[in-house]
Amino acid sequence: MIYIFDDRAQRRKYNEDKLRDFSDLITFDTLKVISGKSAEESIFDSIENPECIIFHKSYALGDENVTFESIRQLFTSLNIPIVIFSGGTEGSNKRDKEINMNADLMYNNLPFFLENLKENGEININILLWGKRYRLNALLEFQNSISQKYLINNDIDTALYDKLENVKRDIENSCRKIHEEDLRAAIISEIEATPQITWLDLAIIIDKHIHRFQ
Amino acid sequence: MIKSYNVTEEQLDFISFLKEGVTSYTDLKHRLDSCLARLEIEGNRKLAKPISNITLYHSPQTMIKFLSLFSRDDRFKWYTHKWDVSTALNIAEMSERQTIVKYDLSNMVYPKESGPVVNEKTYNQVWNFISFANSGEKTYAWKNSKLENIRCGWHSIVNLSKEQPEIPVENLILEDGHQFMDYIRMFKAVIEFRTDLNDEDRFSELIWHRIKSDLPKDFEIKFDSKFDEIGYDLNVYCDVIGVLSALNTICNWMVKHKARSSSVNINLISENEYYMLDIIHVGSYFSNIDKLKNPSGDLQELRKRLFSVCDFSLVGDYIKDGKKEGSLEVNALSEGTYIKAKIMSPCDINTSDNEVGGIKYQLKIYKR
Repeated sequence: MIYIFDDRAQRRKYNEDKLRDFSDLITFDTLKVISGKSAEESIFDSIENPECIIFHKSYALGDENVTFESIRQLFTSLNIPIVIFSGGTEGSNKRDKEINMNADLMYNNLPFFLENLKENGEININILLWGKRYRLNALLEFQNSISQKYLINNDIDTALYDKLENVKRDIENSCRKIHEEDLRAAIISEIEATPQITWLDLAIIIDKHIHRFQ
Repeated sequence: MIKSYNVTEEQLDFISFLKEGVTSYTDLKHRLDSCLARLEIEGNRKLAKPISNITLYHSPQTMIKFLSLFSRDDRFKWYTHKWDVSTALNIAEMSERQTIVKYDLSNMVYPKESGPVVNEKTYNQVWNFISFANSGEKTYAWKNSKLENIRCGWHSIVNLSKEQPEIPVENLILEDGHQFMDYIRMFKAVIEFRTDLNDEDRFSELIWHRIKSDLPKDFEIKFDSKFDEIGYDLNVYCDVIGVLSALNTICNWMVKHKARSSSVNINLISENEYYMLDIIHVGSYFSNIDKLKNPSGDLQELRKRLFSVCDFSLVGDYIKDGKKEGSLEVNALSEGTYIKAKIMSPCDINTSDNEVGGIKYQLKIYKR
């Protein structure tokens, strides 16, 4: 079962109705500290065989001793994917088992994520992050971020010179962000093999490899 | 019959100021309430600012509590979050409420009793962005992650939102052509190391670029692989400007002692409660223990800037009159550091016979 903890009544109600068809897969739950029990015990008592937990970052916990960080650590200890969403989070970020993402984006992609779970019995967090065509979207976002940062404001026929180190670092980090290790290695290796590499060379290398990995 | 009053010219000016541009009873009431609330807060602040027996304790945890209000407390979160409540956002109400909630914020930096506090600079960063009263002849600036002074804040959109009530505040276009959202993002990037904005605002990127730009090109700077592995995905509430300013000072020290070495190693580790950023100036050393015990100048300024932001220590070899004398561990900011009557407690120094091969500057950034 997937548990979703959202304390914004209006948003919760709207999405609960929208996702009624998936009620055997997902349940909208409420965090309550039961008197006489610790926060940890109360929470563990309210969830049964969780496969994934989706949790509102600003959830009003109603107990000064229970902090967001303690809840986060508690959920992380379950060793299942934890999705932390917030209206104030703008992009998305995926770590080992923890995903931070925007609330609207999460609710937009949730039906695709649940459809996939229903059809294939598989929890695929990438669908929640990037939508139905998740790999293509992730790759295009990577290409777009490099283009915006470097290709728009530079004369494409000039060499990278002292920007080379920054560009390689950005490619390494961006590929790590979308978990595309092979793509990273292929692009970096071709950049290093290209003498006096220009911005145009860089654009072509990235485009070529994205098409190969698409 | 008309009642007559004896009023001075100054009082008349004040009444005229209050009434200027006011066309309705509600507006006049709002302006009067704001003035009265401000008087009360200023009065409280003056009472609380005292030199006397109050002891202010270094507490990064209090800073986290303060900054996380912008995520978790409905009274503050709308300064950084998209308004998603069914009723329309009302700037006049928000402004009115601010005069009341300001007391809760200012109490964390100017408490009436001894206890943990927020750094005044952290507070000013926040207040200068959110304050509706921060306008007029003197608009106070806050800094963005490029350390530029920014004078745009919630006060900048008051009139715009009246003129264009149909546009969400974050999409209002300011005089400089930017959407207000751009400034909200800038603000979010300086109260929290976060991973969801521009890549340049991630912890590893901010620190990498700051150190690379503050140290000359002939320095050999090595970032440990863990630095990116941990730092790229790091999310933590922190006075980002405090940390960046501290790095600036540390880099200046290393440049000043470049003759000793131009080799620098950067490490980052993650523990349960904190992250530890180590900046090691290989081959450097301390030569004056007295200056470390009761610091003045740059070191003291750095302590003030990092007070209640993060812990700070220096560990390094000690060479006295050309002779090696083991090493020193200087706890410049740690649990128990305090300010009383505007004087900060001295650094705590431990000596050791072991050499460490340089000076290690350590910033301990708390997770909670």
